[in-house]
Amino acid sequence: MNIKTRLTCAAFGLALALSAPAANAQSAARTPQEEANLHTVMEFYRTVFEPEIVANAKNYIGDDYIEHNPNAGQGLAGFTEMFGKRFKPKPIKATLEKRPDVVMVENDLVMLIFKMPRPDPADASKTYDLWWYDMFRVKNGRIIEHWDAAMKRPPGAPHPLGG
Amino acid sequence: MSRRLSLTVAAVAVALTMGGGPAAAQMAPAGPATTPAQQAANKKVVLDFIREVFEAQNLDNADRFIAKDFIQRKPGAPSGLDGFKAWFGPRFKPKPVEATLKSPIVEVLAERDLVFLMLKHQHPHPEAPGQTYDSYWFDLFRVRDGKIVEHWDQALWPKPKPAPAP
Repeated sequence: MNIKTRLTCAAFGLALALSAPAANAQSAARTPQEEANLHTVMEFYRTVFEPEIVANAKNYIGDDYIEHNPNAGQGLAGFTEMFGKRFKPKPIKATLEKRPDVVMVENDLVMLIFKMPRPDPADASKTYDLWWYDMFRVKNGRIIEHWDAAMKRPPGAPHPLGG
Repeated sequence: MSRRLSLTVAAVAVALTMGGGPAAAQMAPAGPATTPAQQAANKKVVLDFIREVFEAQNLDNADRFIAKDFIQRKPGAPSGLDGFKAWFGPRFKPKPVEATLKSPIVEVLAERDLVFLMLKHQHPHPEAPGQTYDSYWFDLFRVRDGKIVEHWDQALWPKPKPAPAP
């Protein structure tokens, strides 16, 4: 957890308002570092995840990458092991096919939310919107930590979202 | 990196940042820019809401935090302040409001009019009896004029309740 967020979490209640950053009060634009962190994550999606090219993962994922998805392994090796089996490589596109519906960046964290329409259990002719998130911590141009909404499932069990 | 690639990369980054470009039409409205002070105030609204309404399970306090025309994007749950009360009323058992938050919030992000929470929960390990594992839940809120006007989370469509025994 970064210092700013840790401070925010620690300073609940009325104290929180007093802990608002005093500097930079006129602008909340992203810093160049925050833009670079977002760029790293979007390029990871564009050149690794969407084209399903696991060999490109080493350009974005650190050797000591921490994975909080409870079904995945740790490090670049864990990522490669999990997605090497699933990926079917395709050409890299100039832009992302599936854009995140929400993008938030704060300090070293990049958070994406994707809308995923799922079948409506009550009416197969309809869908409802499920919201999936992916959170990344980026350092020195590498993704060093990742969280998502996944729950643990037994080996071989189907992904609850069909992924 | 070639000039062409770097230009493409820059365009992607700019389009994502600005919410511009043709593909941006599918993205949620970005909302207005906010100052760090506004973002801190929005975080406080959300964290006070969690403490005073959710943790205290106190529907009366919801009036101070939830806008009347609140949009609920939690699958299956109704919108509006009235909808919020209809959904959570049967689930809440009011308790005293505590001075500090108890929820396992591990990250709080704010940008524009959005506040994002990530919470860490422990679950029984499906294959190792007696052991637990951690999973991470998100809640996203849009805050305007000191009230929550929109909410998203990762919930699946709620399973229908079994019919009560006759």
